[in-house]
Amino acid sequence: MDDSEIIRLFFDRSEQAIALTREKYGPYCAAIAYRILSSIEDTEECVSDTWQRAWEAIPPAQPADLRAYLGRITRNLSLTRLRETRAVKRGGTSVQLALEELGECVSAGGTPEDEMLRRQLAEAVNRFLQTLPREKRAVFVLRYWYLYTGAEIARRTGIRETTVRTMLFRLRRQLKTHLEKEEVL
Amino acid sequence: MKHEELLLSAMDGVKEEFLMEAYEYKREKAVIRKRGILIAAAAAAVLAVTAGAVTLSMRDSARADLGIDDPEKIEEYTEYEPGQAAQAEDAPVADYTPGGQVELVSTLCSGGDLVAYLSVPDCAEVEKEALGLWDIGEVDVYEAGASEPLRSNISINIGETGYDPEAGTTLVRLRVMDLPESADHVCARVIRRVEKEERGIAYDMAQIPVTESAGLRAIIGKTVPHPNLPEFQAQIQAVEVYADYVSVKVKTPTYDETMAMLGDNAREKLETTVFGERVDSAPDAAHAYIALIDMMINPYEQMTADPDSPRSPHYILEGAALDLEDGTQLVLAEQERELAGVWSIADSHLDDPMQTGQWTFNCVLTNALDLSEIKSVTLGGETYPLTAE
Repeated sequence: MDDSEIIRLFFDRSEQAIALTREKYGPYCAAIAYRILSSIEDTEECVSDTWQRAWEAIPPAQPADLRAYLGRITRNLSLTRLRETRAVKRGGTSVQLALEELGECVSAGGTPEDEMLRRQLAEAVNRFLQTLPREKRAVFVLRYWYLYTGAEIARRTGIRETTVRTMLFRLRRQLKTHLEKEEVL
Repeated sequence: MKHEELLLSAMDGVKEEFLMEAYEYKREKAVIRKRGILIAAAAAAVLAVTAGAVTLSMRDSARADLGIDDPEKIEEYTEYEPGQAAQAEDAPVADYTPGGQVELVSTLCSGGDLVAYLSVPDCAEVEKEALGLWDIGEVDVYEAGASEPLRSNISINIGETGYDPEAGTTLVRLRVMDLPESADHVCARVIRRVEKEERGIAYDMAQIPVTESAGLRAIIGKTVPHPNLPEFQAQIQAVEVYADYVSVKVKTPTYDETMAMLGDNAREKLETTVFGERVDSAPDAAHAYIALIDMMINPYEQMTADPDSPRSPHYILEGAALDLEDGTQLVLAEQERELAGVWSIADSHLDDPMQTGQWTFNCVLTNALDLSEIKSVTLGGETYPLTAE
């Protein structure tokens, strides 16, 4: 079914909207959650919470892209759960590795004014992404938004894993320079 | 919240268009398309009379871009008359304004590289001021007589090298790297995007012949230990010289061998060698291994934003130079042009070099070479004679 029809069902408060959303985007959201949480039980709960959040938000929200909208909810819920449980060890999960890698792009420091800084950072990251060729942008987003591993990115995109790793290595350096130039961090 | 967590959290604000673009991204060269080839000689012949003057100007620009004074001396360089090159059969591209045909001005086929100069007309329907970068919509590599493209790991670079305001034509240089040996021709579509949007001008597919090229080779067989990690030894096996680039074959320990060799705390040792104390939170060992390889060929400041970092840069290829018959030297690191003078890891058609330890490093030259003028190569202060491949 077309996304606009699913959104119309949300607006009509038809519970069929959730069933159809689960059917169409369940695997997509579960993949995002599992990559962050590495737990089937936590993944199921986060994905289930995603449908609940979407039900509460639409309306008034009217997502332009339903898949991206749901993926964003799942990612947020999963990261929140990860912070709450803290059931991670160094080198343990994809998100922990991604965190370590992103640590290269920022200097060490105390606790910042989180929300304001988070927004500034998001804008700076978007400006950085805008400057990149399509392929590099896709690799960066697959690693640090979708939290795919290098091997998974290679399989998805058809780019050799070695190239992906080299690309990410250099992109992190470029992002560091970009953030320093914009004086965000 | 720590800074890196904040950055990961800020990634949540990445635009939806980037999320969808990434999720659906596939390298276009891997897509198999069925396409026939159509010779459009008759139509091109009609255009030849008026296009002639324009192409001469474009031809001069192409020669200047490659630093070619006498095209007769460089066998790998081919110039085309307007309409001489075949056109590929084509279909319109959705959401893009059709830009019409491009003319093939000249090519330099050099080892696994193809440099093609294309004369691209302005398109009156899209304002020039709104246009952004040049791009390649599709590119496929074909064997002779084949109707389906080869699967290959080519890399592509495209850019503008000249503009003729009177004729309203731009000279565009397309570089296709790491072509397979059996390549007969390349079909490529030039695109000019509207700034930051997925629309613009899509030109007709151009068919570009891959012609014969010669090469020189020197067998080296020299082992070089890493200055900070002596047990990591790289053997420089051979240097190959082509009209447009130099290629170096190097054998190193594989990733698995390196980790085994370093024993306990291998990851920490590798990270310390590569990153020193500069990085608070180093990436995984595989990234450090790739960085270790990269350090063999590139100055560390090219890999990082920190020019003061006192690492051991490009220790394998430092001072690499070609010796000419007239007694002068061409120092590779001093080459200056877009893409020139910087060593890169070639995308091998074979196995993953992390697993085989077999690396190929390429360096593009500023000017196209007449191979008969090249005598030897100097590496690490030693000279090795070059002979025909």
